Amino acid sequence: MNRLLDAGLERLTAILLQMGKVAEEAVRLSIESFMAGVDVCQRVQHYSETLVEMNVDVEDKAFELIAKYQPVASDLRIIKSYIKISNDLERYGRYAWDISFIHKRIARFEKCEDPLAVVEKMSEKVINMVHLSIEALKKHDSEQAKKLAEIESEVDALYFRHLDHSSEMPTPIKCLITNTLVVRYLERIADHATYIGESIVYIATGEKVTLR
Amino acid sequence: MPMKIETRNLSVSFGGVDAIKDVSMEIFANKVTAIIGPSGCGKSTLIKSFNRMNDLVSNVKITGQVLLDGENIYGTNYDVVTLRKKVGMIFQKPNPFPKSIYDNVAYGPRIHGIHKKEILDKIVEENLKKAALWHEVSDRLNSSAMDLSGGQQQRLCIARALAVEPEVILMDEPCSALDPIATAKIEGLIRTLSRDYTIVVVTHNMQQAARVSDYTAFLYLGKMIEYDLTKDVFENPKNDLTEKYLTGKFG
Amino acid sequence: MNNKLLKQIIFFQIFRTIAASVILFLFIMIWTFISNGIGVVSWSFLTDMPRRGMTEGGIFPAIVGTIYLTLGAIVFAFPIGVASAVYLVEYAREGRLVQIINSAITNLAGVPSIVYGLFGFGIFVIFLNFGTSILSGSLTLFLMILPTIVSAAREALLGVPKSFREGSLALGATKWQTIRHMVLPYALPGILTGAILAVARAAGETAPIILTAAFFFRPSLPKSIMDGTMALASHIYYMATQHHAINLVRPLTYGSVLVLLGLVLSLNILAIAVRTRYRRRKNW
Repeated sequence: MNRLLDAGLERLTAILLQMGKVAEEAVRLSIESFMAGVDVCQRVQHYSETLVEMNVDVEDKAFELIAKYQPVASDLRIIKSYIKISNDLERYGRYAWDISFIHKRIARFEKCEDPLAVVEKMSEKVINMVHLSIEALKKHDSEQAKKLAEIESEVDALYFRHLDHSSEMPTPIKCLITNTLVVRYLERIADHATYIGESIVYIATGEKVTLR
Repeated sequence: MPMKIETRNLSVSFGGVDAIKDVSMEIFANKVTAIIGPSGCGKSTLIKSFNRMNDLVSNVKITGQVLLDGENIYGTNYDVVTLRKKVGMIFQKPNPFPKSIYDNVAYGPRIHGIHKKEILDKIVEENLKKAALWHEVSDRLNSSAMDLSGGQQQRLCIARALAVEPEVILMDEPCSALDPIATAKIEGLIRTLSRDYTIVVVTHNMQQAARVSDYTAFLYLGKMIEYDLTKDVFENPKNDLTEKYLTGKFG
Repeated sequence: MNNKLLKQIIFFQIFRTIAASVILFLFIMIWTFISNGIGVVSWSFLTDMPRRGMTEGGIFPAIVGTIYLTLGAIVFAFPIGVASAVYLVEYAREGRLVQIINSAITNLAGVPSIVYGLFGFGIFVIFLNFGTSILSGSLTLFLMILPTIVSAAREALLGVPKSFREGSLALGATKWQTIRHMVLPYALPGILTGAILAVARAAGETAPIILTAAFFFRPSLPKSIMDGTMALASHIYYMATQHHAINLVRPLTYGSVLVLLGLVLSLNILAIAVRTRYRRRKNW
């Protein structure tokens, strides 16, 4: 049965999935360029700004659906969660930009050493988490979403390892600062991935869980 | 949570056709309970079994129990007249009597033996105030109730029901014949009254159930499908049928 | 297009002609009675006893007799009829039995009055040995108008909306309180209208009273209910067919007809007035 609400929900979902694509691309580009020492600041900035606009769009559309259709039950959970997820996706973009900006501003594209290879390991996991979160979103798959908890604790462990050993590292100050900041941003991206996961579980089951 | 009304395996049929099947539920005191469900699911029959108005239909068969404050109202010695004094009812189509506003509200008390004018005057004023109608009609208590608007008539019916000092008020789709503004007034009244009375509202308007009630019961084809706190039913219903009904996915 | 219009006009004219001829016929009839009888009707005609074998004098005993017989009938028929209707509508459980009773009552209302007359003759005059008396006549008329009153009362009671009863019961009123306060008062106008029309019928029927109560010539008023009496309807019959000098007394016959017509007409107008007033005041 086609309800009036369904057309609105479809459009909302389309915007959100498009945001997912852009966000994933922004994160991937920013991290890989950082590792390779390439300047992609402008491109990532563009992605980030697009995500900000789309977030506003999602919010507007969601409120329109609420005003018009007074959704309840699963419809309401979906709309409420989409607003949160949209914010999280916008954050992906923002942190991606932060990474490429710091790279330019402080490290000035100097190849920095990474004795514990924390950045490299974290990057791999974080890109995976971003990808997973968006896949889970497409199908409202709460099982896939729950897997993010595991990877998040691994990311956290790496983050703490960097913090614990940072004072001992022989790297130059600006590299230390850059790496620390980047590691921080990566940890935040991972957090937002789990937030998205939590929202997906809420949509699917109505349960409010913590995936951290 | 104190229980005001409890049904145990209640089944009601008319001429062999089941209207309600094996319903067991509790209505909590001083709360508003909404009963929702598609047309013909038995909602009206259910609340009419709380004040034995179903008895008026000639070929009705009732099994199971309905307990009011712990006593079975279908027990052999239970006084129906006292029951209906304790459990009042507001009907879907406002049904004021073709008398004056005053006489409408005074009807109940007079039936129960109160005839002194001073007392009746007080009762009429008090209950018209409780029904949020006093300020609109205080200067024309002797004019005909039939001259009032639909929303005012329904509030008059509420005042009339309150005048016999009930403990429970049953409302069978009280707003379905009213415009949105009148509806909003009655909904506000329901919330206010729930402080002092136990209220059960049957409605086919889900949003109204969500706005007005503390608990919601979903009935489908005579069976109780789900019964929970309203916010839980509307945010995260446990039964798939409920989910489908609430989101409009029913055929 | 023209064809349709033409058909419309033709049918309209046909119906109008039929209606007009009915009204015309009525007028002719009434005019005949009025023109022939008006000369006879006077205060003395209405208040004097008949004299000289009904060739002179008034019809006072007939008028009084009609009043006694009719009053006797309605005094029983009204309460019993209304009570029966209240039982049938408010108390009896719906089912085959009630349906049969209702049908029976409707059919009884259509039974020819001569049948009631013969029945009354057999039961009251002969079997119970009341003889030709006001008692026998009233009881016979009572039986005759009872179905009409029950029917009218039933209609009136059924015309009271269900919502009144529901509203009253839901406030904790007993069934009787509901009937007394929320049903009967609103059914009363309809019941009264029916009763008045029943009275008009009782006043005008000939066959039942000829067989049970009526005398032709009685220059005195009845002394008790066991006495027979003159009555307007029977009087007209006798004057027009049984009198030894029919042609001579024809004017008196017309006069009596006018009086009876006047009585029945006034009762009907009263019934209409009650009904109209009730319709105007009805605000539900």
